[in-house]
Amino acid sequence: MKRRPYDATRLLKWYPPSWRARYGDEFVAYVDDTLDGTGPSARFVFSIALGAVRERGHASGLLGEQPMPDVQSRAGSLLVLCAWSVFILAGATFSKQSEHFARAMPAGSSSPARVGFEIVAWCGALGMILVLIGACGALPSFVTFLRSGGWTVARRRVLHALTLTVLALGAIVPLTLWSHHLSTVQRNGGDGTYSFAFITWAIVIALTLVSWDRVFLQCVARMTLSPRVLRTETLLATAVSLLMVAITVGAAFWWVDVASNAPWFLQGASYGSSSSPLTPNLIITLALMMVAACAGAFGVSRIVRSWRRA
Amino acid sequence: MKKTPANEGLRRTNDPPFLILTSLASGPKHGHALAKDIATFAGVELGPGALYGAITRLEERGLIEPLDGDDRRRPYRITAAGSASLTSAVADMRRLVDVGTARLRLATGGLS
Repeated sequence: MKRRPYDATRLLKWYPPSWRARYGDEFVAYVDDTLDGTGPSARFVFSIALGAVRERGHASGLLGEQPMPDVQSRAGSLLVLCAWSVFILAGATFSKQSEHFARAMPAGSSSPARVGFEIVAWCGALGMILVLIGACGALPSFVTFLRSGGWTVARRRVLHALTLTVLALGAIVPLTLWSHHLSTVQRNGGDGTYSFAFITWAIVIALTLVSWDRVFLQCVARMTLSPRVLRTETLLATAVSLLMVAITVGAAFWWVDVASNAPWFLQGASYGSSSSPLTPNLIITLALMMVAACAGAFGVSRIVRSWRRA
Repeated sequence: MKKTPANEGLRRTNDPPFLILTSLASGPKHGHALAKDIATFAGVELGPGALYGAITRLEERGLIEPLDGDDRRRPYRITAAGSASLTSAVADMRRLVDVGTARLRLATGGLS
């Protein structure tokens, strides 16, 4: 039986549209010539995937020297914003995990756990304020963008994000009412149905954040920002990135101190019982915080490089 | 030694931009011909992502330019800036080779 020739256009879809428009045809011809009717090896496909990621990084302004420094600083700021979305998720998990921790700690001391918790709480609140200030600063440009035909471009993604937001917010009340009828143990994994509902809700929240990020990425890349507004946004992004590092350090402090003084609390076990402080929730939370803090730092490095070039 | 913008990114012998410029120095070639030529003279098999990533960057920097091709295959040729960049990179390498060769002679009492 004769084998069908490999369809190289499938691989091309990984590349950004602008790159496909310029190099698409010749790239497919090159792939056809190289494969000569055979299927691609895993190494071949991996090389294309890596190349596509690199080109997407260049197209978004996150990689390489951009002809316009503004593109680079805008991309850096957007990366910080995306990293902050991850922090919102991680922060929510941390908040759930640390609920009522003070009762488990030795009384009357100003322990590192309390200090760490305060750092997380205050930096988290400050970060939210800075992000809101950034959003308000970009609002006039956003309105101008929508009036000049931007709504047609963004409509589909905005409606998708709005639907998820309504779903996520709509589920809060029934979930809260349900949780009030459960014990602490049932709320923390003891009730399988509640756990399933809670995890589904958390996934919807994560998807909501991702879809709003996609809306912001799509709109901000097309919006016209004045140099003053862009400068303000990049300064705010730099500050938010520093706060992310502080929050990560604060959360780590909290974990270490609670692990030393009340490890049973982290496992939701009874007072004084022997428990491991390494809970999967906290490991994932801290890992998310570290990855997001690194992404934010990379975004800031792009911003700083663009300032040097400007 | 100060790195100049002209030879930036052309430091290593297995560096795709360097290999592509070296290949195009002997005449225009399209993607598949470039990959085959590089595999022949350098023994380096460039993956499709690396090859076209390097072609994209070289064209952006004006070191190579596309020619009208037949069918879908588009050949590229090296520009004057590309030739200057390659000359500079080769000169840098020659200096390194000369130093390395001299030092090896000193250490081993002569190369066989």
